[in-house]
Amino acid sequence: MRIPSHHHRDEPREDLAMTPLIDVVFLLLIFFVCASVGQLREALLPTRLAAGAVASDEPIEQPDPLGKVWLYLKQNDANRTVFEVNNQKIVEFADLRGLLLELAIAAREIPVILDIAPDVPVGDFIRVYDACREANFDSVHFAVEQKAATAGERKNRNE
Amino acid sequence: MRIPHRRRQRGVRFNITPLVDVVFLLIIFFLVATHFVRSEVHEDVLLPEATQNEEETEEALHRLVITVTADGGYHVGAQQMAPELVDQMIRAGKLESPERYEVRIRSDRSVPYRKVEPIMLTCAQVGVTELKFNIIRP
Repeated sequence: MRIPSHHHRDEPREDLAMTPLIDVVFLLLIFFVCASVGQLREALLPTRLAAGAVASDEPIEQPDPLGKVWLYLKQNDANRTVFEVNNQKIVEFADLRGLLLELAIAAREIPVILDIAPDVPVGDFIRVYDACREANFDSVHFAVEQKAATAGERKNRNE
Repeated sequence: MRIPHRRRQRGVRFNITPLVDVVFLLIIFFLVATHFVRSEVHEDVLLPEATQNEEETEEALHRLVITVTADGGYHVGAQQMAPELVDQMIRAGKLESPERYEVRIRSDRSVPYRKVEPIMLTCAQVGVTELKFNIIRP
């Protein structure tokens, strides 16, 4: 009598279903793509204030043209921000940016003082401050209107 | 006599479909929960544009984020605050963490400067050296 041997057949494995896993992966992919559209990533513009640098100072009508760059920001009648650099009026921001870059190339150590009118939008103030940082001035100060106090900010480029 | 031939099943059957379902449910839960948490913290403001941003290098020990919305309101932690209270919070935070204390201003670009100036002045007066503005890159 012959006992039949058991055939070790290579049967295809039917217990590992990949289809649901692929569906989930595609669903997640579509979700993250849709969720990320339209989102703006926020960044940080730092201002390193010098500790205890609030000092009283006499507001001067005619700033020293050799010692400081006094930059005024104010609103004109058309509610548009205009600029004045050491008595030189500038309307376009691109012109102001060019001037700041030229000044920084000539004398980067000259302090820049931003005197901002209360009605100037923060967007314009940030743009001007950003231009000062781009020009790589050593120090940028903010003039505040409170008992003629001046808040100072100093960047140490040697760090 | 004929011995019946039985097919012997090799291996262990492992059905991963329920596992996939559970993982899917967990992922959906965490995504929805994160969405709701994030929507509470950030008010909708149109940030100003700038290019000279810096990457975050060191995590501040104590951070205060002040949001100034387009209508001029001050918000801290999704709660509207009076200007005097914001001033007190800055001073209190500096006393609590003299080292590595950071103040961030998330201001709408249309907000007048007079709304932001008091915050900057207070920071300078109490000795907060790390003052940052949230911006978006153009």
